[in-house]
Amino acid sequence: MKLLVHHDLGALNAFLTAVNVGDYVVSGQVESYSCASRPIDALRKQFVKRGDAGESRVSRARVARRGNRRARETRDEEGLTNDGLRAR
Amino acid sequence: MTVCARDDVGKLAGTDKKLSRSLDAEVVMDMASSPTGYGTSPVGPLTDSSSRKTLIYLILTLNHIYPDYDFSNLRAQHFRKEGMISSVKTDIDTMLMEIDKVWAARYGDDQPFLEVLWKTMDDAIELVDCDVYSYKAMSEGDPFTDEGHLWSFNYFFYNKKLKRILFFTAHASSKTVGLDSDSDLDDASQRTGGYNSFEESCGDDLKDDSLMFDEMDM
Repeated sequence: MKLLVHHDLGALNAFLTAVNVGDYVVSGQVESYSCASRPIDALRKQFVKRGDAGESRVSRARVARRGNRRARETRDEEGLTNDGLRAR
Repeated sequence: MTVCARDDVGKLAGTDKKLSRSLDAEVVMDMASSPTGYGTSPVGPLTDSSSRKTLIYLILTLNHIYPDYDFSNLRAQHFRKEGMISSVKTDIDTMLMEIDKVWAARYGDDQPFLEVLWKTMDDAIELVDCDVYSYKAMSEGDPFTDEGHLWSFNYFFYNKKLKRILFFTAHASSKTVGLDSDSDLDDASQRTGGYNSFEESCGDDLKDDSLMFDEMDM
């Protein structure tokens, strides 16, 4: 269970802490709780996390592809230089 | 005694799940040992898992509100399902009538306390869709049976749709509690001008002593 922060309930709680009504004192408390096993913010967090994970997977693939391209380019350059050397 | 003091304050949040499981298992075991009487309960038939869930929510709420106490020994019969929300409202309004006056003296008559209270509660939980339960303290050691306790109420407004519980409690305690012995002292002090006279303190012994003093040549 999760305590829900509610500004107006908080204000009521502050007033109800100890109210002197003459012969006696009244103290009260009013709180609201969420019984949801996965409150909305938790779901949102999970969604964001999953989004991040997706993004990182994509970027990792991009990096890998970029790396492959560079490797190919250097190989090609080397190939060219080798060919040049052979031609000489 | 159904309520006992809690030793490990602060570990509450993490134990909710564990407690829910153990409470559910206990209720199911109780049912297995004596199956009669569980068809109906203030939270609904305990054979139904949603009714058991409701009971667990009520217990967990009390544990959250009063972290120094452990309410896990409470069972469905310790709670009561209230009928119409209007009758609950009337009860609460009656109890808090005096508070309304204090509020008016402090913040003015524009918005009476009870009006603000019900509007705020409605905003938080949507009262129309709520089932209302109450817990009446009946055991020694719970937070509602202190010395000087005059009255108290504990209402749970449970909105199944929103999956929310709003708990509203209030208790009145006498201002004169614990002052009885002091007030006796005050009375005595008033009689003697702030201190007990030597005669009052010594009583009969002093009379005997005074006889002794009469016999002496002084």
